[in-house]
Amino acid sequence: MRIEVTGVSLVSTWAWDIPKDSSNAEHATIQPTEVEQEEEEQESDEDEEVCGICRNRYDATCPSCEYPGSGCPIVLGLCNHNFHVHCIKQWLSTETSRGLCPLCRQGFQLRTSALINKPHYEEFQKLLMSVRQHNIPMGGELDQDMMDDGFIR
Amino acid sequence: MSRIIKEYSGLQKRLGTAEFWWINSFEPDEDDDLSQWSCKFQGPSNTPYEGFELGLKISVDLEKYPVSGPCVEFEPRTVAHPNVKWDTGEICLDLLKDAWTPIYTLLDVVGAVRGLLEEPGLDSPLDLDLAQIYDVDYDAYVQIVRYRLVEARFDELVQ
Repeated sequence: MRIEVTGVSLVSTWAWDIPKDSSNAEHATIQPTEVEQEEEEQESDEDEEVCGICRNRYDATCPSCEYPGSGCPIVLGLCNHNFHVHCIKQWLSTETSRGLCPLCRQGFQLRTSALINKPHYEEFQKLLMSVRQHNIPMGGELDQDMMDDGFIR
Repeated sequence: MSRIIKEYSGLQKRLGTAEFWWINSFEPDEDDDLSQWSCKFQGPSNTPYEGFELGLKISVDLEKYPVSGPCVEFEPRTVAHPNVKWDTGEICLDLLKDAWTPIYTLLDVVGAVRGLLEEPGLDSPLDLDLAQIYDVDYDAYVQIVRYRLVEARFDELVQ
């Protein structure tokens, strides 16, 4: 029998390397790793491997993206809660968020030691600054409120 | 896949678990529109609502959910409660306003409403008169709430 190979298609899988605790956070990169696939799939069903906001897996896309990967990256929070960057940005842009992590309600901050967070620092700084300003009323607003309440005439 | 579709597909399974025995039905009004939902649930025991089925209307802004929470109201003129506006069914619940975070699901919201029936928040009432009565004469309060529930059920039967 003679077989002629007319083409070869390469197939690969990848997963985010998500640190489970702060001790190995330094090694977090966007490099795909070989995770024990089966074990992961069993656990992944609920909490551990899904974004707390959209409930899609970290290695799937957030609802507003078509392709997973560098187009829809994840960020790692200082509080050990991780999200799709698009999901958490959307949340932090709302006034209700008050800049807090949706899961633990501590002020949300990117973990500085994680390489994967690097491209997002500046944007998050700005975002968090503006949310905080919203929630601390500036002099003018406060005075107006007090006048309305009849404290100042 | 969007969050609301995920919740929809997992909902019937979760409703079958022991945790949600008190929910009689929970589904979108139309199968092809996940923005309007109705939920019927049993009034919690050891409250004036025990033995009555209560109806919630839930509307979800599909563009913003879960970054913004859903709007949840009782059917108008069915539930008397210190934190519910009788005429509109509007509910005053912190989880629906300042305390909302995207980790909550529609089921969590219904659970929180049930919790509110068990323990009214008397420091921020919508129905001031009822809150006052709750404070000074609890038995009278229970009578009023139950009277209104019976009346609402009667109205429903007549219609």
